[in-house]
Amino acid sequence: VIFIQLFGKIIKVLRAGPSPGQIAAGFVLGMFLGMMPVTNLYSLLIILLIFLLNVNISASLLGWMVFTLFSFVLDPLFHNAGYTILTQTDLLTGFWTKLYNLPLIPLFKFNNTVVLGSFVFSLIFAIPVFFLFRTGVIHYRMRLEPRIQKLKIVHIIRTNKIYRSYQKITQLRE
Amino acid sequence: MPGKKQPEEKNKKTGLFIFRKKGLVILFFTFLVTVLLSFLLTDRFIERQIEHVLTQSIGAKAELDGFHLNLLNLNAGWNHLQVTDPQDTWKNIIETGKAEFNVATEPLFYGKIIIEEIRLEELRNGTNRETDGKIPEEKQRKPDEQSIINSTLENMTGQLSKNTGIDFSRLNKKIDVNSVIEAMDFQTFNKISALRNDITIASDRWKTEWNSIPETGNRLSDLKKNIESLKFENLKNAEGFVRSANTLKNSRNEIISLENEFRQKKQALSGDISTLETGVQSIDKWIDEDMQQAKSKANLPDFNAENISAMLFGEKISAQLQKGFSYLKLAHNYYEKLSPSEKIESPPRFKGQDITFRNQKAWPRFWIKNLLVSGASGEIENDKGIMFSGAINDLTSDQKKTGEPTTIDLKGSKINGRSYSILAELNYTEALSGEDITFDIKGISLANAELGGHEMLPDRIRSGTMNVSSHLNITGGELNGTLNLTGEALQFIFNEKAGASQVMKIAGEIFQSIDKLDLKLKFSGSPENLKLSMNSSLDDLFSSRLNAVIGGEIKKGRTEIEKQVRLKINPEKEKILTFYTAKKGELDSRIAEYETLVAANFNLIEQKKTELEKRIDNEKNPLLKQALRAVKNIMKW
Repeated sequence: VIFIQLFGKIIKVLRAGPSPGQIAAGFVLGMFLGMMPVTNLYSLLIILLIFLLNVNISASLLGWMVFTLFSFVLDPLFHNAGYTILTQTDLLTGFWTKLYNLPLIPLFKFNNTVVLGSFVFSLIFAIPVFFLFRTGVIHYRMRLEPRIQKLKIVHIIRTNKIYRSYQKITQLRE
Repeated sequence: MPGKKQPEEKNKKTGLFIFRKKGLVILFFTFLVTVLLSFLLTDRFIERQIEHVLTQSIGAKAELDGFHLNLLNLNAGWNHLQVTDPQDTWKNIIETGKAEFNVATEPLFYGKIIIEEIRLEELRNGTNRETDGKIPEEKQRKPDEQSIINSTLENMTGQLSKNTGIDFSRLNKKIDVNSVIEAMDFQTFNKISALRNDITIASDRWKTEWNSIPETGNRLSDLKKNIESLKFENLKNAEGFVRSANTLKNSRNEIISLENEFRQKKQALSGDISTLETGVQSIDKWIDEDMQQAKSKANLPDFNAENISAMLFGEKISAQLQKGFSYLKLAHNYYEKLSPSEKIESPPRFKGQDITFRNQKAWPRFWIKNLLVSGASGEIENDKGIMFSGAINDLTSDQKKTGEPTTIDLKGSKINGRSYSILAELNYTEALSGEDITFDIKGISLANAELGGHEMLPDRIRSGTMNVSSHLNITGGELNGTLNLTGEALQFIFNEKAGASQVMKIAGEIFQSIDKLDLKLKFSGSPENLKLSMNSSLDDLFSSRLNAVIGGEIKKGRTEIEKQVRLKINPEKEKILTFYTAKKGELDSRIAEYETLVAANFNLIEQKKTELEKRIDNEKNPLLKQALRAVKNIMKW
């Protein structure tokens, strides 16, 4: 039921409502959260940002679900990247040591190979994903949505009595 | 839709405001609740943590009341702390009133408590508790059976009590050797009986083996007769010579084969003989063992100077050591509990790996740099306690991080003039941990002190003082320690039975003649292999007097026991030796008989071979002589 509701909300958001930028930003923050397999202070900070910033929460949930699936496959890659950055890059050793000795910072678990690897990957992909998703939303609203509305199946659903009743209940709730 | 605001319109109104108003409100309230809860609960949380750690490390209830931590001026303290004595859970091992101290700022951000100085001025030890401080069985720390302290104590107690089980009252009576001998269960008899059985079985086996030998003997006799019947003077032709040479060769081969068979049998029998020989040679050892058992049953002590101290003071010293070591065990438990384990876990798959960097601020969980204490032991109103003061430095949860060993320097005194001092260094900074403790007590009044418990000791001490000086060093599992007790101006009181026996009379005379007593205990080595020695100024006095007076009697008793044991066992020993010699002699003579027969056959063959060669050489017919050269080749062996 939750998934159907979420799917419904996402379709609704894609059609109209929040700006494409808000949706894309929410999706990117969801990506940061989904790529991270280990729960730590960093995950908490991302969740806080999702609730605090004016981004779309449904898009964040979508981003989190999509990239959680990806992270299962990409974990070894994150581990290797994190291991290389933490141990094989001499230039950064001093920086990591300073961070490690700062109060509270170690709670972000930046010294974990998978956490750092996934964070770096998220950073690299944040801007491309943001623009790609934003363009996708705009493209959907301008071109795909009118076409979908003209589809016979959509017309059948809309004229259906059950759908009408559902629409009325939804309007009353809003 | 008219009348309803579209989200785009909402965004336009909010403009570039990127924060969600509701989010900010929630965040503000969450922050407020967190601050409020931490303000209300932090003190209680820390209080419970301290109570938990102390309870677990001591093994009895620890209660801290009114703990407070003020994060604004970084001040902390408590109103009351009491820690139960695990040996007597209705008393406190430590009780203190109000304490205030400053906490270092920076380490607090890392969850570490570093205190520069705490002054505890009303510390008391041995105070009564209102409730039982026992903790439930399941919460109690499991006893560390294998700890160095336990193993050492076990070994020391064993060594100290080893020589104390002597019944001195028996020395007063005449040693009744006959009753000791009668009560003995001589193991030599059982062992000799078993040996006799073995000899009989072996002898039967030899007989069975030997049954096949007569046939061999008969065959050897037949061969001898056959060889002897060979005559070479009348041989006329080559066939006769060849036949004779072949007979000699075949007979020789047969004798060799019979000899091999005989040797194999002899070899098998020699295994039996060697086993039985060992048994026979052990008879004297068995007798010695029985003799030792009889002597120990007679309870005849050895009055060497080294044994005297252990006999007199072993049990008392052992009890005192147990008490002293129990405090050291407490310190061990405390550090074992607080020290972080060095177990390195391998990272689980897909959870990544935590890379550790050099810890520039390697603070331990807590570190009290200077703990200045002063107080008293026992109830205040009785005023019998020890007034003490001193310092404990670098009390910490992890010495490897502070790099400083914990040092204890405490001094105490009592109104009656007795003084105490303890100087200790507990060093766990390196893998090879070490403890060095010096504990002294001076001016212990011995007036009316009881000495009872041993028939050779006086009942009480009328007057006198004693000084105790002890030192213990434990480094990497190796112990080194001394305990010196010095008694001065001593006067003893003897019980009514004193002088009732010769031994007690001697002891009484010795104690009356001294007014000073030195007792020294030394130990060194690993707990499993501890070398312990105890001596006192009484050792030589007791040893020489006891040996002079009752030593002769004991020596006589020993000789008598030896004589009686031999008298009882020797006939059995003689019987078994005769039995064995007879059986072995039988076997030896039969072996010798067959060896002689084989040798005689070989000699005869060689003799006949020479005769035949001579006959060939003397042959006058040149043609036949030429042909007989081949016959000589038959006899080449």
